[in-house]
Amino acid sequence: MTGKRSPEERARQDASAVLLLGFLTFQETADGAGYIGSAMVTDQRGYPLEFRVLTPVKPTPMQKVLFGAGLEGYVSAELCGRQLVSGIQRKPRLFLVDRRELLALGVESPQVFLWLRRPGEGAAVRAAEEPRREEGRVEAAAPGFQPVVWQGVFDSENTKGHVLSLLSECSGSFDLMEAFKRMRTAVELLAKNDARYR
Amino acid sequence: MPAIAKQSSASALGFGVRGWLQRQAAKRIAHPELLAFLDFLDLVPATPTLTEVLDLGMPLPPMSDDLWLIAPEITSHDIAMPMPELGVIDYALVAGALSDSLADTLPMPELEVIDCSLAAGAVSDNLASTLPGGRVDGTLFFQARKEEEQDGKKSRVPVVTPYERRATQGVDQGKAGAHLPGALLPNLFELLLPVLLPPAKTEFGQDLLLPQELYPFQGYGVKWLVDHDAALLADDMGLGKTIQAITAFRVLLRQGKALQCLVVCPKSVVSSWKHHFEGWAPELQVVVIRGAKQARDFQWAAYGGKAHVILANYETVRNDADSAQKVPFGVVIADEIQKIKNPSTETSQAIRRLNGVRRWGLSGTPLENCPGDVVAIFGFIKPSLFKHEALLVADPVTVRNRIKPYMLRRRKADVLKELPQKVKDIRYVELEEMQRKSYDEAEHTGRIELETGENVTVQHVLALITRLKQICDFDPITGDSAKLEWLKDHLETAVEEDSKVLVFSQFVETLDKIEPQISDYLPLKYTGQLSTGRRDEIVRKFQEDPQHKAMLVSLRAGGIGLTLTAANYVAHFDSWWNPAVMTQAEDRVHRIGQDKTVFVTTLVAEDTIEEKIQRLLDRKRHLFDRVIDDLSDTGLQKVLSQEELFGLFGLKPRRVARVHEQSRVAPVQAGATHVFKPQEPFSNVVKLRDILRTCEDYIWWEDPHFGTRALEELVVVVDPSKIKEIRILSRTDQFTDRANSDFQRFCQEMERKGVSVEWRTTDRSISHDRYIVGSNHAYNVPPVNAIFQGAYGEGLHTTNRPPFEEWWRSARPVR
Repeated sequence: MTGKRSPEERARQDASAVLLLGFLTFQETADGAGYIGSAMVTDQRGYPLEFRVLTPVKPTPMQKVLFGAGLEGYVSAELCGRQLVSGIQRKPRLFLVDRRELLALGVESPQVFLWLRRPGEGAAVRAAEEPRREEGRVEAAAPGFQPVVWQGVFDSENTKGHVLSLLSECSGSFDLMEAFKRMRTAVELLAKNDARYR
Repeated sequence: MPAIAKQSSASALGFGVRGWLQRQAAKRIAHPELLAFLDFLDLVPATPTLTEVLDLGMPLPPMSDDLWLIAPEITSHDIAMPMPELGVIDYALVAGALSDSLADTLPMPELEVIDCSLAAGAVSDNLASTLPGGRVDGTLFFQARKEEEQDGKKSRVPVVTPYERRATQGVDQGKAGAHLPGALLPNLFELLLPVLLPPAKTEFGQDLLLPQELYPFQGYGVKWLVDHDAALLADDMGLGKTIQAITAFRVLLRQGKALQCLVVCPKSVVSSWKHHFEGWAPELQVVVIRGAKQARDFQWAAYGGKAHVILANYETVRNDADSAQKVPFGVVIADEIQKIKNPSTETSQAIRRLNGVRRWGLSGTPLENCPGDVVAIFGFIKPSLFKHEALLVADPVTVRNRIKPYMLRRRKADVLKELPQKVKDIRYVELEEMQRKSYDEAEHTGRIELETGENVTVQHVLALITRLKQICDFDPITGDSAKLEWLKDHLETAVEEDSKVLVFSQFVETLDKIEPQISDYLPLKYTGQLSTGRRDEIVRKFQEDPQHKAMLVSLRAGGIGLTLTAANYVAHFDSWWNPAVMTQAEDRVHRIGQDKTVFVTTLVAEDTIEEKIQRLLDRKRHLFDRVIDDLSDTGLQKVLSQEELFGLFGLKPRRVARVHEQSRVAPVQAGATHVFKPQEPFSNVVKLRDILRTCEDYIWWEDPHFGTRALEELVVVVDPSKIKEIRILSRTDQFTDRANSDFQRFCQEMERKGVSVEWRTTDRSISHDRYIVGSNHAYNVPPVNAIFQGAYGEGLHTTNRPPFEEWWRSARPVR
């Protein structure tokens, strides 16, 4: 986006950003040789407004060795996550991620990043150097959807209140975790149809 | 094997130091300077070696050169290296465990510096696009075609197949939301959207909100459909079969008895169904199966569980029979089911093979007297009903008795007391393929002209709108018309009901094109080009002769003063901006003498300027209390603001120099201010030309009948309560016969409205102006101004202070 925005424009965009949800995920390519990051922006009903995919990052064996256990974290957050967050056109205030590593994007970011998972899945192990994060649970507002557990950091209680209220509202319209599944399926489909994403 | 080097008095101390060194080495803080100092004091007989350390239980694993990064094997980070992954890490850990200094002493092969950073991937284009409110289908995309000649025959073939396109053009040009003329389809948007959509909601609660109350007979129809797995709803046209079926499906959803519905209908009403679902079931996810064959096959499968309702036309189902029959549907609705009355057609066979638990048919065509057709239709609705009993076909009574439990038919006469006198409906049609192409090209070109042209004004926007509206009626190249297809179906049903149809259009050329296409119904045509005698004859024929089933009427010529109660169906082929003008036209049918309910249908081309304006006007109507007054203006530029008009094409009006602003951008206000100055001696003289003197309504200039139509329009928009009297002053020798005739009619209509009209002529030169005098009220109607400037005028001279009263006194009454 270029050019200066008028105050009215900014206010309008800011207002709409509050009502948007961003989803970030990260998956291996079908051959296991690389990683693909994708982002989706939806409205509160879960309808996709924007979907972006990165071309795969394919580390060489040497790079895999040298980055070691930190490879996925580095690729997912530093390479894919930042690219996607800056590359999408709509800028939601809230990003939901399904990988703990992606929470690193929330550091010094105006957006809130929450890691979502099903209760009992993906233990929330915290590394010593990581900041302490808050954790909670969202019960689906509509029947038929499972609850989700979130983890993240908020800059204020006010933000936290807004975000959790939005999450709760959205959970009545669609299953928040299911959105990641859609994205992964779309990436797989895309890879089948476009060589650039293999 | 290592050996102890020395034994001395200090050995005990040395042993102690060694122990300390071992601990320090383990802590990776052994300093060579310290070791040297101890040696100097002879406190340490010998520098402890690595092997001594190893002797004490810390053996080094053997190290292989293979673990090092050998320069010749790596030229760039893209080359894969056969390298044990853990080896390097192990080595590094061991080296660190010894000490920095010790590690430094190890022989180091020379290493090439390698860039190990990873390149970040490029972000794709937006693959999901913006979905305008409630819409989830890629209606902006279509398959571009090109002409090819094979064996001397010309045919139109797709420009590229979807997969070729993806391979050769990538994603950029197919960027979702791009609205390029000739955009190619299907693209990644169509491919991915079904996947990215959330699953269709299955929990709806118990509330069933309806946008408006159903008539009692419709409520009964809903209940009857819900109770019948096999049903033929055969109400007369206009009684709301569509909304009954939609509401019945909503009930089944809430009862958990159905999750997904397939609606098969003629192509001309697909858009209409979609809009009905938007209005009557906004909570449902509705998608349309469209696009190239590969894309459609994918959609049939991908939309399973993602949409509550799938819409497809009969041809699509016929061509995709294999894909369609694999999808299980709770309800299959076949609209205009008479389309499958011939059981041997592929379409009929494909429909019968659909996998639906409930099968409903809708038809407004009376079928009860055609047993053969009914049997064929029930081959889909309830196949077991006539199975192995073909002989029954010949016996209408048996057939009628057999289908009785599964058929509900209400005629208009049956429910007349429940119906209002006039039922209005808007039908959305999807442009034909070539029509869409012409439309997109015209819009694209027009938009560029608006963006790049100098001194672009609202009038240019209006000209573009008029051009686009004409394409919405008929493709200028091929003559294709989606609206015409709908009209043919509509006429067929109406004639079956023994009803007549009036078709209004604002374009005479449109009527000329429709006429030969519906010649079976012996249509009559009523336009302003006809003489008065001829007009009267046409009206008489339509009213009295049952053979003439349709009448094509110019909105301006036939919109007022006629009585056409022989018809009870009205179709507006295109819309005029002012609902009052259209209502006035409808009232030719809906007036004293009409004993049937009048059904009015307005056709709107989907995804076109017509729909945009329709929505904009609807929104304005809801937003502003005053809007009905605002909309009493007939000119679109009065109904919509300059920003809104430019906004229809995604543009903003450009500011022009101040000097032009008065003359071009706001001529009406400038002129009106001038005329209504308090000190003006003739403040009650409304000189339309002064008010609108610089209004460049060139859209109309090419139309020789504009003057006629403009006066007719003036009759419609004038509010009699605000007019005390009208005085027309004209110069005798400047009036043509036609102008005289038009003004005569104008006077008659105004008098009928209760407004006193007086018309005088003078031989004196009054420039080329004519005057219409109101009671201090101006009607800012640009077309009327154009009457004076164009159709009935010869020049642009004017007098600044017309001595109106003086001239008026000296003028002679016309009648």
